[in-house]
Amino acid sequence: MQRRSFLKWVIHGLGALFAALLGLPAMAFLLDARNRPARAGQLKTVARLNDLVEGVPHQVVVQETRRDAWTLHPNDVIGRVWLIRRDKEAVDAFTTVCPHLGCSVNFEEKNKLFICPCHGGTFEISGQRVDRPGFVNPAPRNMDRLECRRDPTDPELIQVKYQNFLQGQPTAIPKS
Amino acid sequence: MLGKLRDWCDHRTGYRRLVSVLLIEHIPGGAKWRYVWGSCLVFVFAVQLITGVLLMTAYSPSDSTAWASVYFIQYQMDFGWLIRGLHHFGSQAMVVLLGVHMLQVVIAGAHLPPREVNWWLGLGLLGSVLVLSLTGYLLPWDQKGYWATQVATNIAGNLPGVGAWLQKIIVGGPAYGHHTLMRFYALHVGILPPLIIVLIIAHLAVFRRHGVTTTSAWEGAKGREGEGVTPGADSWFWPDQAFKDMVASMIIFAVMLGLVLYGFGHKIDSPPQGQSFYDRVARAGQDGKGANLDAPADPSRAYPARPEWYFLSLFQLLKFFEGEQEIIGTVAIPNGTLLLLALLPLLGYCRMRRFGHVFGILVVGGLATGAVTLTALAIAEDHSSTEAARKFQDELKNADELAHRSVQLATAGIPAEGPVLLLRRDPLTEGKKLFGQHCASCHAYGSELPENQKMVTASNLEDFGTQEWIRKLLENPASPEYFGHTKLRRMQNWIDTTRSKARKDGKEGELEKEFDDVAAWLAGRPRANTDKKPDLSPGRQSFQKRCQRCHSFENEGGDSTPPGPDFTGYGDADWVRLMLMSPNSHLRYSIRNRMPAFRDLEGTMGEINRLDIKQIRDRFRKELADDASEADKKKKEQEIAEATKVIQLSDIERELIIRFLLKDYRVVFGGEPISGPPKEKHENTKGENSN
Repeated sequence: MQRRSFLKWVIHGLGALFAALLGLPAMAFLLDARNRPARAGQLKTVARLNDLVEGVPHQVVVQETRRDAWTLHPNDVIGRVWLIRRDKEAVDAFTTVCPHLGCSVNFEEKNKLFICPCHGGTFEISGQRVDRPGFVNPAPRNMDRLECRRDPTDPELIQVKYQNFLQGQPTAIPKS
Repeated sequence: MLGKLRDWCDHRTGYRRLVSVLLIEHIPGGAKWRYVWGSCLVFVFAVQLITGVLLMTAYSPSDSTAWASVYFIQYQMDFGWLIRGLHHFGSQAMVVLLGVHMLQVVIAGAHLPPREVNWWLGLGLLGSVLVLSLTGYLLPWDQKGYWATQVATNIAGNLPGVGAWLQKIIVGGPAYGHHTLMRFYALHVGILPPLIIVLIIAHLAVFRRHGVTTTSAWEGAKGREGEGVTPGADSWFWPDQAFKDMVASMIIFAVMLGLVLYGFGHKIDSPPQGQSFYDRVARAGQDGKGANLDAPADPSRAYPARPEWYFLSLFQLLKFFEGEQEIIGTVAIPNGTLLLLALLPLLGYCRMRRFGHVFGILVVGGLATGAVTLTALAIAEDHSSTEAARKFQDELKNADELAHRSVQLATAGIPAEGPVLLLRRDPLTEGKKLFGQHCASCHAYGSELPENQKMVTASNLEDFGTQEWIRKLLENPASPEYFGHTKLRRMQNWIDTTRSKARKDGKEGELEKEFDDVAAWLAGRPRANTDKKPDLSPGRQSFQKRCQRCHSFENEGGDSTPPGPDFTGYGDADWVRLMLMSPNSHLRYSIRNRMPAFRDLEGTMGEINRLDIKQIRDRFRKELADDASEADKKKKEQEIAEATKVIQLSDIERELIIRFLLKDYRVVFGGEPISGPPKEKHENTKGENSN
């Protein structure tokens, strides 16, 4: 009986060794995505100041180098942005991604509101989350503001730093 | 606690009965090492299933992504090299084990009645595993798999009658492409593995019905099977045979692991610095560990194709048959062999049993010997000293270098169009070739190009624009390495005068120092600072003092007639681009130019390029006085023709040549602003000023 139990121990031992040798690398392989952090965006030219009408939101795209696993896209659209010219100088930029669950927010000309077509997240033209009694707004926070500036070498050009944020949070937390 | 949980579970599922059915198997004569092979096969197959599913999470079967995703698994993903390596060598282990298992079965006479059906199931498994190997070989979509599998599908295409049709169905179209990969992939992961699982279950069930074959040839069995001697005491599968199976399986796993750790891949020459120990282990593919990955499949690039080693015997067999008879080697003999194997158990009935057993051993032994001999012959032929073998080895070496290069290039990112562009858009591989085609008829490159040095009519462009290159030019512009073959002599004249003057003034050393500074400054590709700060470097100062009368820089200088080339950003890609596209520009050699302009006359910008060249010609014509004589006009016209030759060169090709020249060996992705005639800001502003 001692011999039998020795054999069983060896079988189980070798089995455990094998499971570890294959299982641990397999786990690491499956969790590999953790090695690829979101790239910090750069300020990219998206529009000319003169093309923007004051108080009217314009949707523009941001193009940048995009890395998708093995593929390098030298100049790909990485996101869309709502630009709103406030006055002669200032321009606000918001990502079109809804802070609720990530659908693309539209602008409704009639009510001058940003409304998400999926679940009805609603925002003022200032990007402020609409909060009035009797109205359930699924959006957890204001529209996500993006860094936006005039190009120092050519102030006519509007530059935006595109970023993705976690959905559903009360504050804007960049995706890592 | 655990026991109670087990009871609960058993009560609901009855799993203990299943376990006991699986494990409690009576083994008459006791556990034996020679019984391990079947279990080992099941073990390796399980490893293949696990690693295979893991690979499925990262592999992408299409013409433009397959190689790239395998590259990513092999070089970038944590332990991808290990998973892929085990899968690769596991497939080879299976083929070897199948051979051993078959040999063992035949020697034991375990294929004879009443075990015929199990023998046939085994043959089905053998066939399925071989198809699995064949389909898996293609999936990386590298040169090796691509060309070797072409042979296999072409063999199918050569079948009389249905061949062409069958080939098209297998390949999924008239030629290799997306669908070939996806069909092979579906076979490899969706059809064959479940089929094999079903066959294994049947194989085991039938095996359990008859038990191990205790009577073996080498123990001098007498009479019918089952009545023979059963040496040793009986024992049970669990744990006696299971122990032996486990140990054998682990030895096989250790061998597989050893092969993976030995490493057959291409190393990354400059891996990322500062990696932690874990990172280095997790990405040991970068250190060459794991299986090999050849260059991306490229129909435009030949490859010395050989099948995987276990198919080499069939490859060699093919050589013995020519023309019409080829089908004997490709189809008749392999299938005849399979048929013969399938018929072996039928020779075991009644009195034939003895004969059938011996005959079976002879057939399988003969097959094994034949396969080993043919394989050895194939390897020996490829390594012999014949012309063909040398050529094969050269091609193989070349292909291996390209594979190595592909892997290096892929590290910086792969174009979305597919990895095939890596080499096609590699300045070092393709740019060099293009330089040979388009530039080497006039320019030498080191001592390599062109082959006929007598043809050289312009400068040697190896190390062009480097400090050393510029300094040597300043030493002796009329040397054959620089302007010696051209009619440009003003530079040499100026150098000679300046030197002799310096010699007279005793300021030779000073002059040479100034030349050193200019060379160093120009080699840094100087352009105006964006912040408009004045450049106070000694090189800039010396340039201003010595060169700027003829050579303009950022809109300054270049006032001599005629001026020399503009030196803004001298030797950078923009500078070279203007030189290639408009060597007759006022910023380059103007009317004294003799180099053809390299323009894309066929692409979308063709019309604009033609118009541009016409305008340049018209401008040269305007330089001629209105009252010039016919002879002068004719002479001028000839001069213009020589200064404004045009040669077709696509934008991508031009960029490849520029990068090769500047030793910028990054892949040319395209998409950069590389179309159309280059900017001529300076010229325009100058024109405005003079008006």
